[in-house]
Amino acid sequence: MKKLPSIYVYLTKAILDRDECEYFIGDLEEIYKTKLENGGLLISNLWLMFHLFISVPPIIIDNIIWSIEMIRNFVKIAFRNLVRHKAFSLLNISGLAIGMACSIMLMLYVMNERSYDKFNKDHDQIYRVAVNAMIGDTKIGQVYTPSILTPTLLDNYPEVEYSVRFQNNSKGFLVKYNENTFNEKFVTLVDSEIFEVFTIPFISGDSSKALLDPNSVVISKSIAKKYFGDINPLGEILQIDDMNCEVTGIVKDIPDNSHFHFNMFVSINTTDSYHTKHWFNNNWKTYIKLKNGVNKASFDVTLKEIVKKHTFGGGDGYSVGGGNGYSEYVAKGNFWEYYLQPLADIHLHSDLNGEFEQNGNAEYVSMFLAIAILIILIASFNYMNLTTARLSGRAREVGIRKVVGSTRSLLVKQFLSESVSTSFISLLIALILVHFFIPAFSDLIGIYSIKIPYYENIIYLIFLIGFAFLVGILSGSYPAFYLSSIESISALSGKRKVGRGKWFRNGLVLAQFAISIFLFIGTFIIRDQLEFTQNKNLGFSKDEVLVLKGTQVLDKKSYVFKEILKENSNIKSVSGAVYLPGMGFCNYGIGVEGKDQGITLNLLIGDYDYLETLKLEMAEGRFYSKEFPSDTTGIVINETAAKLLGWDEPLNKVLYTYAQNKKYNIIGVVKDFHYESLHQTIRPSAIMYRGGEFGWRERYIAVKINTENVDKTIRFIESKWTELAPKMPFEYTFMDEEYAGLYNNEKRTTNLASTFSFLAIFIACLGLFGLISFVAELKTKEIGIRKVMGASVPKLVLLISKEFTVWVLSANLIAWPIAYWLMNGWLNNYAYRIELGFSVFLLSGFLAFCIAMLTVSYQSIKSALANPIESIRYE
Amino acid sequence: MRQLTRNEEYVLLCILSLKENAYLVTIQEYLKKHANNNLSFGTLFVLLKRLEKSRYIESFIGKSTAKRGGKAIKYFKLTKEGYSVLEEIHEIQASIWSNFKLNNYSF
Repeated sequence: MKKLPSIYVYLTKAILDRDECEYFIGDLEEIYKTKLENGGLLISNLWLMFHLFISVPPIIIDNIIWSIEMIRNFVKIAFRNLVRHKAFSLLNISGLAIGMACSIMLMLYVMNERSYDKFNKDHDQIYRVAVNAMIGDTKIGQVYTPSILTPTLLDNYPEVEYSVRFQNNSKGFLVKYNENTFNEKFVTLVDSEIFEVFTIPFISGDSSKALLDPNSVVISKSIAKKYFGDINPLGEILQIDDMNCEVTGIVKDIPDNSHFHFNMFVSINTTDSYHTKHWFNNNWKTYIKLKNGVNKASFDVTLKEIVKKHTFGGGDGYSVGGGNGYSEYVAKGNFWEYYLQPLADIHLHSDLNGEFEQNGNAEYVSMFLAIAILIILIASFNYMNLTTARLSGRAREVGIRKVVGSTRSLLVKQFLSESVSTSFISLLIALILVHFFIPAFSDLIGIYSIKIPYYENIIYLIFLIGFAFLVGILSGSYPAFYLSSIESISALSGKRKVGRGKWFRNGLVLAQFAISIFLFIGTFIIRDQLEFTQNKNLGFSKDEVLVLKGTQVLDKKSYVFKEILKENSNIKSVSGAVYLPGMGFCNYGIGVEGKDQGITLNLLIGDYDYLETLKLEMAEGRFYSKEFPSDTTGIVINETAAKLLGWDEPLNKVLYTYAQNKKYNIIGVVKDFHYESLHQTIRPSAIMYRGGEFGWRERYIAVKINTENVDKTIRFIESKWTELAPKMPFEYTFMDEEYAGLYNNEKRTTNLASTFSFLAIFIACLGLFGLISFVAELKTKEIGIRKVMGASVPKLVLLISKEFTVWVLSANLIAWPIAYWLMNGWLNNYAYRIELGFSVFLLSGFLAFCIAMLTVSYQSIKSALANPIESIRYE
Repeated sequence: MRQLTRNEEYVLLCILSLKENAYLVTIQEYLKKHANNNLSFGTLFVLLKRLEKSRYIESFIGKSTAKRGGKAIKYFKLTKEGYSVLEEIHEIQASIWSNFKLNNYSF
């Protein structure tokens, strides 16, 4: 007779308890055989299969009902234990809660950074065209592209659905309505298709027609409120610099997580400059939307063709060096190429010349992600450690449970549910902490758009719960499996093998302190580097320099204003400028007479007193002077540019601009100075005299002042300003502050890193404190006896704390090489960096050691000082 | 006394009438034959477990046979409580039924 196929046995065993399934299988087998006697093999099998299948739901439902009963019992016991060991539970839960709160906040920051520009519909089809080029020794990475690129793309390449040009300047525009004038930074001239490419919803107006006509402007809701209040802005006229624009639409404010935040969009045909056909007149930022299904990689190839065919083709535009073609250009070691940047990558992965705003930094984001993970690791190690320590005191309970009939799996379940319920309590506290500390955290990182997505994002909530569950399981698993393996006899007889968990626990302490020391080292190095960059000799003096902004309104009165200021005894010198160091520059293609190869220079533009006000130094020749009227056709280049040009005698050589083909004599060479942040090496640049081709209005007036009576001087300047430019906004900054703004990212990182590394070590110390209390408690009797036998207090303190000392010290050996490797890599981002000294490592290790010792000493001294009678008596 | 479900009531009655030979297989057959009630093993298993937990029935282990692949039989029999529950149900039902006369009803 056939036996019952084993598949049924397995199925039954999977859903039933072991002691019950025995009979059930017997029943099944009996029925199966009866069926076999009456019918065929197939029918019996099918019948049994079917019946087994419909049997599963009721059994499982029954199981669940009973296991809920069991879990309720577990949770009840867990809470009783928590309440019994109040101090321990407090350490345990608060450590985990703080760790979780830190991680959650950091994760929110990371999520926010990664969400940039993704609100745009079809953002994966939108790209920015950027330039990667090499001219001579100068590498160029910029977002400036020629205006002609857009019509070329649209006319010749059907895969491009839209192409949009932005023309903006970082210095802002003066916007006037009736009597109100403000300096608006976020104004751009732009093609009308912008609203097809970017998702910027209209509140009123027609998105397809709003920017078609010249002198149209679309404003954001907040701008509408600022200028018009309750009046309907549609049809009103705003004066933006020289342009009188009619408001044709109102859009919603651009979300915080966008890489630009323009609030005024002026139609691009309001000015004439976009007509230029010059392929090297790079002043526009081009965004394109590719048609659905067009591959980015293949279009990158197309863009290379465009360079050959158009940029250097000499056909429908100019070309460099008289149309010699791209191959000749490349033969000299140069190249010029356009490439696409995916829209969503711009915020974190792009740091090119001409970005709209300061972008984020992918490296910092991953750094904070790493810190978030490290902190949660420390916190859960802590939790694991304390839980192991605490649970091992419950060996007797395990013994009794086993004797009464608990199975091993039941014990594992019990300990796991205990640690999971504790971690859920921690999660709850962590969420409350996050709720209260988000404002402080926003202050710390200088980003205020971080929201807690509890309600909008159910996935986020599920993730958090899963996270708490995982931490609970991870940290409960060691004690659960270790304790449930204790034999009941040895557990009950009091021969507890406490020593067995020792290696595990000490290993965790080692890991925790290695992470903490690593975070310390990182923080110190970032801080040192930041200090270094801020104190480095920049080649010009940014101290005591007051910068007035928006001075273009003075126009021709600017000269008078400067003369008035110079008369004040507290003002040392005054200079009007279009660009100041650390506050932008413009990028120009420059031809060299006698050579068929041009160079690109970053131009700073100022008046006669530029040198004096910024305390720049000349290397050769002289600066612009009133005594030489011919200086309007002079040019002062920096040393790097002089070196690039390669003349022994640079003075009186002639350069010319591609844009207007005007000639300039080199009259002087200025010593190199850092007009950009120290991320960049000094690139070739020139200071142009503000006149002729560069006779643009002065955006800034830099005033070198006395450190005394600063308030009085500022009041004086303001009174003169209101006389000459009534009702115009008086805005000023100090140049050193402006320059420090270049390091916002670093500053933010330092703040975050130092705060979180201290939190990390705090959590680690909570764990250490709990652990040392546990060890002290275990050794109570030993200490008592030793004391009776005559051991001194210092010896006892040493006895208790020595094992942790060893581990905390050896954590250095792990932390140092990793920190060295990673931080060295980070420093390589900087053109000017500090060298890694040994002292930072030593200091971090020492600091961690001291903090650990402080934590340990309290408990160890306390137990060493205890009266031995108390401790021996305890049984 | 908790309210018994109809299925539980049937199972108790089955065990009562099967006397010494009440176990999962026979109960299922009996139910199918007399009450036209085709319960799956799982449902029956859970019902028996629940009744045992409520102490209306108790189980004892019988002999093993070759037909069962050497596995022992788990027999069930009524407890005193189980019997009194059935009595009670019968009383209530009889008194309720006595007030009805099915064949006299006009539609």
